[in-house]
Amino acid sequence: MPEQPFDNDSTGEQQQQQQQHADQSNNEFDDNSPANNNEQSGDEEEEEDDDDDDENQTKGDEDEGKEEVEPTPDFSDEDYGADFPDDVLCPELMAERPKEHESLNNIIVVDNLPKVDQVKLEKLKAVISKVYSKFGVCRNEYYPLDEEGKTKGYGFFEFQNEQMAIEAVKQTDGYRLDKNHTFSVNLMSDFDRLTQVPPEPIDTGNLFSWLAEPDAVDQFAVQSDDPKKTTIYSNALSQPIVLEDRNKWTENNFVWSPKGTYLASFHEQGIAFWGGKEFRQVQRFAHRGVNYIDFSPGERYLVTISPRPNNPEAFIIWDIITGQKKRSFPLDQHSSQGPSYFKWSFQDQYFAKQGPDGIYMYDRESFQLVDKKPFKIPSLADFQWSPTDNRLAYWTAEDGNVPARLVLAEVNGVRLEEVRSKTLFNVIDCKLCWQKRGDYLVVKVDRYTKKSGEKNNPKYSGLIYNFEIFHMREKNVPLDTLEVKEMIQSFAIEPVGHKLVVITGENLRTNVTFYKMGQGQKSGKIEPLKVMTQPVTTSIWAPNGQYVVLAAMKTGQSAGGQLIFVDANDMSIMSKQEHPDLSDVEWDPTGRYVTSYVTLWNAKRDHSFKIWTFQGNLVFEKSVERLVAFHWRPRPPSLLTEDMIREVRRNRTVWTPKLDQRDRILRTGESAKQQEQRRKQLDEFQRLKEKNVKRLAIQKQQRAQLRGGVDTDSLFEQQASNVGEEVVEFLIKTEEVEYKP
Amino acid sequence: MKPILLQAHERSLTKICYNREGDLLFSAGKDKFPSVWYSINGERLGSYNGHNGAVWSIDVNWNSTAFVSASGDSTVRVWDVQTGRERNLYQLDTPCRCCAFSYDGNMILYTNDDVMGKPCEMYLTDIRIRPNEGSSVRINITQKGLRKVTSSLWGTLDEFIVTGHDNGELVQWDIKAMDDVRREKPHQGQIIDLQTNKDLTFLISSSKDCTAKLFDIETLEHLKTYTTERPINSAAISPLKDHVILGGGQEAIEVTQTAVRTGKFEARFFHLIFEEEFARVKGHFGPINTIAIHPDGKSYASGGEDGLVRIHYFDKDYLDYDVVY
Repeated sequence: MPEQPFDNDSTGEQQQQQQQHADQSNNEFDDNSPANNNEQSGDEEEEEDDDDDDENQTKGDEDEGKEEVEPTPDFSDEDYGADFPDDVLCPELMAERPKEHESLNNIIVVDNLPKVDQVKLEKLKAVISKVYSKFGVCRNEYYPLDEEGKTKGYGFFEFQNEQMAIEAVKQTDGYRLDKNHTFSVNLMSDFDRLTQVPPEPIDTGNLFSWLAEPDAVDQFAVQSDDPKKTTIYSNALSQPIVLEDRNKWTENNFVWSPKGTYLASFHEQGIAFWGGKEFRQVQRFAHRGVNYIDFSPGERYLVTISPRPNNPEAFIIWDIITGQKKRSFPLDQHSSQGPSYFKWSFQDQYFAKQGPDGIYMYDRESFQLVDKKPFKIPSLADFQWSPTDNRLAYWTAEDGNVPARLVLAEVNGVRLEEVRSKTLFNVIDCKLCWQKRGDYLVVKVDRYTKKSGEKNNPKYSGLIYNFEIFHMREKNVPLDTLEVKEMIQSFAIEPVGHKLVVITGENLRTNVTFYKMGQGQKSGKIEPLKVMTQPVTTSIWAPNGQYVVLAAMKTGQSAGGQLIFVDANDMSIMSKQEHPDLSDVEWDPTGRYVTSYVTLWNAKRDHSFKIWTFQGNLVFEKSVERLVAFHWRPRPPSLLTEDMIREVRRNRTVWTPKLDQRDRILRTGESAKQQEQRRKQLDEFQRLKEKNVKRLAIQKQQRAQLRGGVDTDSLFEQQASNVGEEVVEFLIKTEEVEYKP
Repeated sequence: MKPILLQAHERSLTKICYNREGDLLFSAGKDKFPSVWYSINGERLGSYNGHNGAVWSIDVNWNSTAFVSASGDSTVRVWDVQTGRERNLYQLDTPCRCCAFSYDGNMILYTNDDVMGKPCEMYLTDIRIRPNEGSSVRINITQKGLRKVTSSLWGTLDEFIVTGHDNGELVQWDIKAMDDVRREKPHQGQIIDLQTNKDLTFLISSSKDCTAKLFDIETLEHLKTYTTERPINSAAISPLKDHVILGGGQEAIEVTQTAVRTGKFEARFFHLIFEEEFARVKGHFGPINTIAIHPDGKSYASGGEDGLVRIHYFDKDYLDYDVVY
């Protein structure tokens, strides 16, 4: 079954039921909550707990509600109304139940009663009892009195059990006693909740405050396991400063949102988002057993994935700002375990997944299939959205006599229109790769010359590799083909620019080739610019192009660790560095710094990260025991237009001195502090030395005595002053001589 | 800074030391032949033959007349430096670990290991008295509740001795009372090496716990700590500058699993006062087991697990260099 149609009616009903249920669950929960809260220590935690309740309330999340209550004994009947209540079945037993009497759930509060004096109270009591006697026996009633002995206009009534109380509330809330008195009835146990509602929206402060940092300093987060700790640093000029350091911030890993606004932490119950100046919690998404999350590129939606078997809500799509659940999907056999099950178009407008017979594309307005049906694409192998247009590229695998096809398609209303396509023969695999600016689509195609073996387990030989390159910004989208002789280890497209780096070869006997993808008139030409023979596995471009780091990651055969910083303008190597056992390399979002790091996952020891300038000068180095993850905080795309950026570039001569001066001031401030510290240390040590000199002077006589009157203290000082330099020539002749004692 | 390579030892180095003038460099390794070299050019003068096991420790007296070696063959021998003749032989029950000359050059201290149910003991002997004539002072370390002695040296004016122990303890012994007067536990792991500065006022300990620490030799007051990410086998204090040189690296037993680059087999230069690393010297293919600085401070030698001794004469750059503050 490919898809569960989203049935509005049934869900509505379901939700209503859930709502009721949640109410009930909440009541039970509240009953126990004071005790729970007392057990907890921190204020914050208490607050969080309350939030949780509210959220459950609003979302009516059945699962959550149930789970919360489970540990406490639950005497209430789950499906009230459907079955006989317990006290009907075994009244004697239930009567003895101690908890019932203490429970606030049996008590209702009736407001807007007439205010009467002692004389009339009996009459009022009689009237009220009459109203409530039909719901069950009223165990207890209480009318608070003011100083003058008049009732205060409200009363408390205790029923035998909760069901009666709930029923009473339901039926008499809004009951008109007379013209002036309309009852307002509530459960006593709801009192806490009601006084706290409406929940104050959490003041998250300015979520973008970090972008207002005057020196445009970037931030990064480092996570270590054992002790489980997540630390956020600000990469200040002289050395990184710790901004936030929390133990057990996340139970699993952490993820920055694509624009860097939020830090997402993983918990058994779901995902929490943190942001603002002090990294306070700003949002939470309850999804039990969540393993992966994925963001829409515009940071509007979050997909949480809990790939437990038979989970009807394996995938949930949330609106990040409101925290609302937008839609959920069950696990199907096509669900990859990875995070990018749904792929989002560039402005979050569509999200699509690969189904059994094509692309299932959904609209973000309705969260329904576009045109109510999938785009049928037989033998679809993979597809990728363009990062800047409503276009997508896909390829279909070979199927019998039908050759493989590579297609570029555009979303046009409810249709998917082919823009360009190419038929390819003998294809094993294709890798679709968009350039960051969407100017190019580079497809790596692996092909074979011979195929043998069985149908289900074919063996390929004589492999050929080539690239198919689509020039997206040119008329009719011209297509280039680039043949590569050797095995391709990896490749990377310049994010902003026209270059392509391809690493070919095996193990660490690799060649790095820089290609230029022709533009305009030269389109259709791909020129190799330079070939370097360097033992590396990966190339990582700076976010704005021009600079690229060639790195050798740790592999089975080698520890790797070579880092080569290249300026792709003239293909010159700026510097060569090392970081053995290298796990990964990551550029900061502005392209000023690069970090290389070694994690627990691929090295036994020396877990550390190093921060380099884009030219490859080491700025900072820190060893972090059991380092798990390192990530720079992303930045939202610049608000400046192309023209404004050009303007800034043109006026660089104006800006540079100002910025240099600012750097100098910061540096001197920092070094002054350091100097002060060092001077102190030096003075301290100097005093110690002086003390020793005195001690030595006293003991001089004794020392000489021990060595037969020879003063051996000032051997070299004497030499320096009294003895002239003598040139000694050694004539070395190697000769083997037997030693005879 | 092109080093002079001394390739005399077939097995790993255990200890090297300069004589007081610094013209001679003595080396000992797990082969049986401690050797002596001209430090200026690395020319070998000869070796002291007689031991029948790995030589764990050596020392030379102040006027370079006598040389002492402690060996795994359970003997400690005193040699005539010039002729290479064996002067005294002290036979013990278990392998000998440490030996050191006193300031006056007449006394030696040596220790042996606590194996085969025998206790670890420390001996103080006058080398002018023949072994069979005089008796040496003997302290049972194990009986004092201390672990095996792994490094030792003489304190100021031969008034006390400092020993480093297997469990990271540092103990000061009064010679007259023949008893321990101070016990500290500055390290979490074995203290592999102890060295003093030139005028015997400071003491630097090197430990398996990846730190080297500086102490006042008389009070054992902890002054500075130099931290790395590898066990430190040896550390020396420069007589010329406020620098210390640390040598170490991945433990020999694990070396086969590590590439040379990841083993961190470099000699590492730290500022004595600021505790900051400012330079490294590469070269060895295995951990550095022992480091010694020339008494003039203008060169140093390192002996490694790879069986090589490298003598480095500092460039002018180093001699002119000073950490800015």
